[in-house]
Amino acid sequence: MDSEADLRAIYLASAGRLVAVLYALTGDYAEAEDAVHEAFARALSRPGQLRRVDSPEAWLRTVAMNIARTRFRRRVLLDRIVHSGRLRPRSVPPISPDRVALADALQELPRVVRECLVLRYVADLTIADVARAQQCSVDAVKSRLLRGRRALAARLDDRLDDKEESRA
Amino acid sequence: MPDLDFTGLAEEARQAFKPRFDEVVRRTRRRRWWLAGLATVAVTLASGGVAVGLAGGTASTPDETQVTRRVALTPVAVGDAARFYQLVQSCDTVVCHDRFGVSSDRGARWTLRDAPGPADASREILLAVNLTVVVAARQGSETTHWVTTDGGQTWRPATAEDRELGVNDRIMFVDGSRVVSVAAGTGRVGVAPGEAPLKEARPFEAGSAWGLVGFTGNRTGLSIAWSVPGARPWEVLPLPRDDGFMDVTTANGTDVYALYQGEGGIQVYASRDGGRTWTPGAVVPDPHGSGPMLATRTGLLWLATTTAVLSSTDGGRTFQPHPRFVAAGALTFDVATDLYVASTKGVNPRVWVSEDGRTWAETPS
Repeated sequence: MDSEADLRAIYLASAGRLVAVLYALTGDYAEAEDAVHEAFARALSRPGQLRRVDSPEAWLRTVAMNIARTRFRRRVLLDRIVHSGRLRPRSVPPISPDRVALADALQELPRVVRECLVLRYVADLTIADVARAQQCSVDAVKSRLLRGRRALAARLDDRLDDKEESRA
Repeated sequence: MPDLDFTGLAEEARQAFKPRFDEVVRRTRRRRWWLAGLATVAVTLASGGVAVGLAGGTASTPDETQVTRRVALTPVAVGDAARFYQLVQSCDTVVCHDRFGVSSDRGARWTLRDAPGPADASREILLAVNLTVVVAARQGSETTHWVTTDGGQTWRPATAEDRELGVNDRIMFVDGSRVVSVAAGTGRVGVAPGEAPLKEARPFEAGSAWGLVGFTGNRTGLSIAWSVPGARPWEVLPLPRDDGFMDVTTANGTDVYALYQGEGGIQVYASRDGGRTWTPGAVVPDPHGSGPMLATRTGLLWLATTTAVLSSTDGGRTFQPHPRFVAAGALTFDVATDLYVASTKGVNPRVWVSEDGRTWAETPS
């Protein structure tokens, strides 16, 4: 399971999905790719690790998310310090502006709510699996999903209004 | 009601991904090499070979220990032609600490010193010029700017004073509508009393001039602004467009390049008159649309995308991949007088230096 050939097969099958999840979580495509590559590198450098897990993709997603949490906590905080409201080069994938807007709006939500939405709707986990991943109750997940969707809708509405105002 | 199309987001982001398993293999090799090196150090320590500093139990000065860097948290900030700075995270078996890395031999060897601010603060190097360095440290909602004028041996919290920009000042950032600078040598932080020429602006390297890029209006009218210390007031010149801006660079204040995210990749614009007129240059395919750009005094233009580092010899009309930086990862450039530096962050940070902006050497080689 953990040989390079096996891991390459897992990579080809799941890396794209993992990058999508990490992009939704971080809002930065290059950073998302970096976290996923780092997770795979950790798997490859620790023989036997993946053999012990039921779902390699779930394990890799957790590792990549942990990497992202640790690494991006600094970046987000520092962005607030140093780049708050200022121009900063960003890394976004070549996808439609609506999707980018959705990913951007996700970044404005509290981390726990954002992760809940991303695990449910981007990673396509069941509500029970999200509850396990977040170590909370199913009801808490439902509440976070509801709050998160409402907050996202409000933010995207605001952006739409701003855009129309600037056109007018 | 806006569309919350998570499925579309997931699908498009997945399709944008270009598999690069060779990158995983490369990282793994470097990780094994690094761990092997760490194991060697551990064995040496266990056998009592190097007890000073690294062992942490002596009265000597562990904060001045000459060691190889650990995880680079920031790109290399260049103080001058020899002096580099970098914030790193150094971990023992129990705990990790942020450290302030100083190299006085262009990155060949590094001294790790205490990073300024509380242990759990998040930090960034805002500016480095000779022995003067400013680090922003945030803890909770509190941000403190720390200044050193002796290359990180001692730090003091910066206190800003209202004063006009002086010839020795380097711009750190624009706070609201005020330009905040630090004086090289004294480390005095100043807030210029007048209104900044641009809103939401940040500085960019402009040689002997000051350069700002920001907006003239409410997130509209993206422009650059020039000023020569003590010589001429700010001149504001519009950039080619507002949307998708990524970076701007110049080596001489005349040939200016702007980088934008475009439909088919990243779009370079060039100006031969200091930003008064612009012509579109190359469109470089880059699925992730990232990339700092570096103009050098020898005329070469460097562009670091997420997949390659490219150079242009014709003013941004065409770009060619550069073999020196194959599989280097995300590069960041910094400039000092007579020196260009490219560096990466992370577990296996790398540093390249160039004196002419044309040929690069990795350090340590």
